[in-house]
Amino acid sequence: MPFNTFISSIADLDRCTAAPDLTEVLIEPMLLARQGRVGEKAAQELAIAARARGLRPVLVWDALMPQQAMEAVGERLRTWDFAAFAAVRVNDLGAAAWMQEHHPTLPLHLIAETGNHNLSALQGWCELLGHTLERLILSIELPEAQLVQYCQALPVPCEVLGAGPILLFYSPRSLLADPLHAEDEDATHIAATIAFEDHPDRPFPTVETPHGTLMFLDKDQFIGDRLESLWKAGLAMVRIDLRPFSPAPDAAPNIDRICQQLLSAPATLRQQWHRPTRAPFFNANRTTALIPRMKTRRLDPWRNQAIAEVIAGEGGSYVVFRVLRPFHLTPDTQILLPTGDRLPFPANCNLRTLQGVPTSQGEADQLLLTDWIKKAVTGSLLLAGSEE
Amino acid sequence: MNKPELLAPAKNLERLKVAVTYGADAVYVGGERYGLRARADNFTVGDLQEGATFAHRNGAKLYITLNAFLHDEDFAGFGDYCRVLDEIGVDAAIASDLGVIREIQRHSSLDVHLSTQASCLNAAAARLWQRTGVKRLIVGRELTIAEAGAIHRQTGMEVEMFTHGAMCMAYSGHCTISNFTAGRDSNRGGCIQSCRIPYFLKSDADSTNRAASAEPITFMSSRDLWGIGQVGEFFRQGICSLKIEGRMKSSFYVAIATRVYRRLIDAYATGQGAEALLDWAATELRSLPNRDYFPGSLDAPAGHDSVFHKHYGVNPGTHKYSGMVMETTESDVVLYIMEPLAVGDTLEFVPPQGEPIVWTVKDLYSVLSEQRSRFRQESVVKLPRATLPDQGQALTPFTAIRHAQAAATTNPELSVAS
Repeated sequence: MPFNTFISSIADLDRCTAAPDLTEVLIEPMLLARQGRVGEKAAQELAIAARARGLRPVLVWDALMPQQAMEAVGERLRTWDFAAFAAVRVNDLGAAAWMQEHHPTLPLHLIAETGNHNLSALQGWCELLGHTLERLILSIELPEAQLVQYCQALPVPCEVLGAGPILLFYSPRSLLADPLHAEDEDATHIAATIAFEDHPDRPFPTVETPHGTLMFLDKDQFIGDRLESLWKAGLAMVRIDLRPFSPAPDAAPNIDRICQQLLSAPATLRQQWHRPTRAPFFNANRTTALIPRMKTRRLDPWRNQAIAEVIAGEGGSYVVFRVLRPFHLTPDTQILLPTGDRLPFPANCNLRTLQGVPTSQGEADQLLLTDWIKKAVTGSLLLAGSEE
Repeated sequence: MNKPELLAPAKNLERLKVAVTYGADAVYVGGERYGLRARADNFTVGDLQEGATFAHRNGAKLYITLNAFLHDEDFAGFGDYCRVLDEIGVDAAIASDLGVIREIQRHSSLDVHLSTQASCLNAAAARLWQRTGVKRLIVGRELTIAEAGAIHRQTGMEVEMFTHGAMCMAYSGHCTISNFTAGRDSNRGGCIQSCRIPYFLKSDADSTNRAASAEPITFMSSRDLWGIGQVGEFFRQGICSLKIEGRMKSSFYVAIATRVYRRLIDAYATGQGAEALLDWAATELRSLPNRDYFPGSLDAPAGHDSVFHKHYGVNPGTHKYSGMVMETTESDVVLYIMEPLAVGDTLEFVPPQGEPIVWTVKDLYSVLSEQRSRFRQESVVKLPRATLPDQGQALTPFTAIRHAQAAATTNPELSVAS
């Protein structure tokens, strides 16, 4: 059951060496990683040290890169020795392209966590990045059944977050320094908690780094005790993220004990986890059920049949229709009320133009009048009959 | 030097016609599914047919947003829908999900414009997207115009940029606050605008709560973008299309924003200089509800001053939407009014071209030609041409009408450049 985790010190590496089934370490230079804490030289040294301990070092390049930053970073990376790294983990397609151009043999891990929720897209990334794509990092918004299916169907191995913070928001802007009056402080990371006005008891960890501002959920993802079906489906890697609980300079405190517990007593580990845990979408993506309710208003299903809409009227006097599309009135034309009820269009209601000319047809955007039709309030639709 | 296209949003058919009437070269709309504005009216297939016909008849293009990030089950019917869009003559689809792009290409011959939701930020990424068959990039709003221009030059791809409207504070597509706190998928049209609300904020480094907000503060809400001072730079950098945000916004917004950018683009293209129009443009745009405009990252990355600190809502704008010209006859101009209207009220007609016509209501008639002294809101009203300046010759259907609001509503310290 292979695990990986983020590291930022030799002490982390020593703990990782002692951690059962932990085969890979994720190294985050400040230059490239949105939560990175180590310098460029230190990152390369950590990679060499990881290799010496039998661990697979993966370079994390998960910051998104506007063009100018990309150019500057590209120049800096020309001096790097990538030989120490076993793979590079990318979020920005530009980073993937840069690696393919300059280090075409170095495997890539693509972070497909945000907005990659269908098989076609994931297969597309595999085709686009070709043989250099070694792994896809899948979204925790995918339910278990989907994760299983993708692990089985995709041509590259997959990884998923097993335990750790859930990233909610990634902005390139500095959002904490100013309100916390920390502009002048010599800190590369400004940490804070934020809470909704109506839920002050829910603290969302938020951090500002040189790459922008990141906000996390108040509860951690934890599926360490629910991995069996994923392992059987061929899941290649489970990520354990301990960074928020790590006093600098470490990133993986207790990783040895945690990996041991993941293997021997994962349910206990969940109960003992440093923060409340959940796996909000592991059973089902509950956002899906809400979509039809967001979209469908009572009259929407009928809009394709609507030929005119009531836009104004005066009780007992008249109703004004705005024509939505050209029509000829037929005997079975109906009025659909906002309540969902239907009325036959009265044959004697005297449909006419604004000039008072009787008509049985309308042109798009034309205004037409009728005598007062009881209940035909604003928003009612005139529905084409079957002969239309 | 190519003249960029002016691309306006439309929530429904009326707004599409407003956008085209006010000079949009292209309009983008949402269908009933697969887009990111679940609560917009959105276009039925019939609406799309009518919209495409109207746009094409007036020399404009119609783009459809298919920019949600879909789950497998969301693809039901998608191929058929793409074929229908093709038959209707929609000019391009705006998409962000690679799976969606692949399905569009499998089932139709629609051009694909990569949505800003995909956060394409550099030329290296653009080249990869180019290999997927994407024709145009709507680059991330985090880019300067110069950076977008560099992407255009290095890839040869069409590059479109937002020039106006509300902005995400997060990298577009990289905010899932709604998903995890409200069970609504922000990338499938369910964003609850969590960035716009106030939060309690407390520094982890300070146990005494120094600098923490005892009162909640709004610190994640972005000011609104305007690019009125950057029109020349869009031209110079070869940006192919200037996009106005706002598929949820009113006909008034569509009319005024389209009118302003139409005039600025045309002025620059004809060598008249858009700079001379800056004060006018700023005044016009401030007539709309706004969140203290700023140039976003168009010149340089947005800084600390890019936050809109108002707790709830927006600045209401200097003017209020009063209504719209619905129809004109030989004898009358027919209005739909959003607000109550009485004889003696002052209205401002804002025609697509030319200066606004300020006019005090003298006579009001119902659609039955009954003279009245006042009408309630949401009424249809006839104005005799004889009572209008120049007999109302400048007034055509879809002309927006506004009236001045009493209070100054915009931060007076914010200049055009800010």
